[in-house]
Amino acid sequence: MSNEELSGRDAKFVQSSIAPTEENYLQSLEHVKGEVETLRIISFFLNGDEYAFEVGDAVEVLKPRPITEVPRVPDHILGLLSVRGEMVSIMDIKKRLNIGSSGTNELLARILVAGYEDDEDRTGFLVDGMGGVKELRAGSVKPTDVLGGLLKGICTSGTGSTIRLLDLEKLLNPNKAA
Amino acid sequence: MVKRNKKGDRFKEFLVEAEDILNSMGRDLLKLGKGVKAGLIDPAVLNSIFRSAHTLKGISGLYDFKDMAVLSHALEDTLDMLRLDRVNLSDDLLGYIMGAHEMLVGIIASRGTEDFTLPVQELKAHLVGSCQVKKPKDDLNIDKKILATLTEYEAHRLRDNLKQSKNILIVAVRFPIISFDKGYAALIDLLKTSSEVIATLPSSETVPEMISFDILIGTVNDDNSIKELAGQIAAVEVRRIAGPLSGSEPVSIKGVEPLQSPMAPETLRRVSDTVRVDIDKLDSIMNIVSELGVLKSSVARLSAELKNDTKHSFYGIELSRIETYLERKFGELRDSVLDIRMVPIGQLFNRFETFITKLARETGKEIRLETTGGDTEIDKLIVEELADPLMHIIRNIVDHALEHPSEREKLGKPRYGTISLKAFQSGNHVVIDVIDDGVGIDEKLIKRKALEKGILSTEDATTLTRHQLLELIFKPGFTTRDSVSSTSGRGVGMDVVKENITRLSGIIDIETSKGAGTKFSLTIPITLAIVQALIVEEFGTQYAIPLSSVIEIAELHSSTVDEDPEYVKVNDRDILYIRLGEFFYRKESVQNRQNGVQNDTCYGIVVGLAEHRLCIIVHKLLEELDVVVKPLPKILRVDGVAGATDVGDEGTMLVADVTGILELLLVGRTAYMSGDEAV
Repeated sequence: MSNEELSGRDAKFVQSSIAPTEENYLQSLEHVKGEVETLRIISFFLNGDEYAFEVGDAVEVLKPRPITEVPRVPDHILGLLSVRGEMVSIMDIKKRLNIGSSGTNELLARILVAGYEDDEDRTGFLVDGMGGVKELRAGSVKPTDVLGGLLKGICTSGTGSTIRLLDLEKLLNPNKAA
Repeated sequence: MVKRNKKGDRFKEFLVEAEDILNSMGRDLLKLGKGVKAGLIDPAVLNSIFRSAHTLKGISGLYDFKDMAVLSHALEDTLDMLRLDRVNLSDDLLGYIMGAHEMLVGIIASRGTEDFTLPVQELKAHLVGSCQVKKPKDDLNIDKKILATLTEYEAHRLRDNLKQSKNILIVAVRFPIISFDKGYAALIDLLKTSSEVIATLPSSETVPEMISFDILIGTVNDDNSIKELAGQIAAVEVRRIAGPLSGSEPVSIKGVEPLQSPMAPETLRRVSDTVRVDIDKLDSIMNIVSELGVLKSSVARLSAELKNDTKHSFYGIELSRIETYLERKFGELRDSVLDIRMVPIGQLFNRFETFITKLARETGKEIRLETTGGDTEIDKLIVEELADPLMHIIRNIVDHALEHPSEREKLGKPRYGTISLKAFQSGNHVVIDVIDDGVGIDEKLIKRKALEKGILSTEDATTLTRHQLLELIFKPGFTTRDSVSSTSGRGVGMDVVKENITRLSGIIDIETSKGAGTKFSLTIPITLAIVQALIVEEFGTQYAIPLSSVIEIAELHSSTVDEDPEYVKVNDRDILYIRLGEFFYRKESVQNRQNGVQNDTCYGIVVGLAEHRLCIIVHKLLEELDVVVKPLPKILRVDGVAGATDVGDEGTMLVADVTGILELLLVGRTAYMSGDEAV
């Protein structure tokens, strides 16, 4: 799949890669920066809707592996995985957002590992499938208060669909959520 | 030049080296302090402190560490005058020298982030101001040629030895050039047993393949006995050059050359075959060892399968033979990597000598520190983790438990209070006892204060057991003091102790007796880097149980376990039990019990820490593995889980926290604790 160039300031976004494989994700991270001030996001799907994190928060994408259950943890925590020797907690992001619950059975399901600061614990999010890395104009994210303040805002993709940009810090720290 | 704000490896190395130097300086200062009290100043100790200050000045200059360079320079100057006997060592001066050492420790501890310029200048002024200069000495009746080769310090030592009516001898010796460093060091050590080695002068005598030294010593022995002594190491010639018994004239040394050859002995004394290793590197080796262990058990499984396969049983037997050998070598590898991490706990105990001296000065109490078992070995990381808890315990003892000297005399106790640090190994754990002979813990006072501070509710106060009462001193914010002292009373400290020890999977026990003192017993695992674990299975999930605290394993029947909801009989003893699956609240486990559907056989794993016992019931025992326990992300940290470990193909397994489970149950079941608590 060829990457579309960011054509001037009118282009609202560019979808650089949509194939949900680890290789393509890594390639797409190297996508050329645009001239206008842009925001790069990595999107994924939950119940058919498109959600996203800022690219800087994402660490890697994994195919689902058996998750080790941990007793007495909050309901939305599925357990843990060892990612390159580091123990990473896995979150059922649908439960966290109160929109159902995730399963690993889906063919395209992936675990998106993210962390907002280097020294903080990383968390893996179980998602239905990956979208890809996209570039938006920085000002195009509109604030919203749906989903209990867990969103940074909502933006519209070039094809007219809606992308919900998640606030990783609030997702990981229940106390900070509004 | 490396700037100090550049936090590179070299800066870290510098900190480590400076810390080492300061540690040894601290020990020497302590010796010096004791010497001064006894009226005897050991020149070797003084010289060693001087050398520490000198080295410190050198390396701090190299790293642009200005405050430290200035202070160590001032210290070096003062110590130089002292060792040359140009100034008197007054109590004030000793105090300032110790103060300088303390400030240097502070500068290192701040890693260059704090500005010490002002206090350094102040202390420097004190150091200079307290030097009372003595009159210079008369000159010596010694060959000028020898004197010319001596440094000022060496000349001073020579005078001092003469003043003490000692014989001044020259021991001439030759060593083969390839092994002279060892021979030289051995000879010097031997000579030091009976004499003071004043200087080593390279001899001009040249013999092929050999290197010669003239060693200048001061001794009460005569030439012949020294010759005999040194003869154990090498053939020597001994000449007397001065001394009270001597009627002989000074012996001249043939044209001594200045110390500029690269073979000068001064530079050879630092020969050392020790390697400093970052503990992170050892950790990564540990990870590999653990992964090897997983591979090893896969090989074992395969060989067992092959043995049962009639077609391939030959290969199976062969493979299992190799596997046995692999197992043995693997064990050796694990043990030697572990051994590298081990350090004697005496390293830690030594640090408390200075600390206690300081506390004694601040509180006006007389305190003696006794240490035993300093050679007990424990993981370096754990030693560091123990430093703060022990410091808080000792600080509390000095502040709350030990009486003032006059008060102690009235009570018929010795004027000085004694704090004993005792370490000994007990299985896979090290027990550290901190014992004092102070007032003991006043349980009524604790109860009253806990009620006042709102840590304890009135209802709870009536049902409290002795054990629970003593546990109150570990609660955050607990203090028996109404005012805050500089050493303690803020209500922080003991909670930190509890927290740190728990993090190390350790346990604290207190025994106290009113008027006679208190004993804090810390039981700590020897290492956390890699643990031998028993892999068990409960309803399809595997858990690792560290073997370090396992005392025995018994086969049990589910029906007998169910007879009593709390205790189970293992080898005729009633032991508190918990079903592991149930503890972790796995649904199947609870349901199974409710439906009365049980496997007949289950296993009771009896674990123990200090005098506490617990039987953990599981359904399947699988194997033994060496596991590296990794910490969990914050959100996954739950009671009873110490961490997780990798098990091949990126799978993971939870590691049970035996101490945590034990403590939870002890606190939960008051009936178990009351009555039989040791005093």
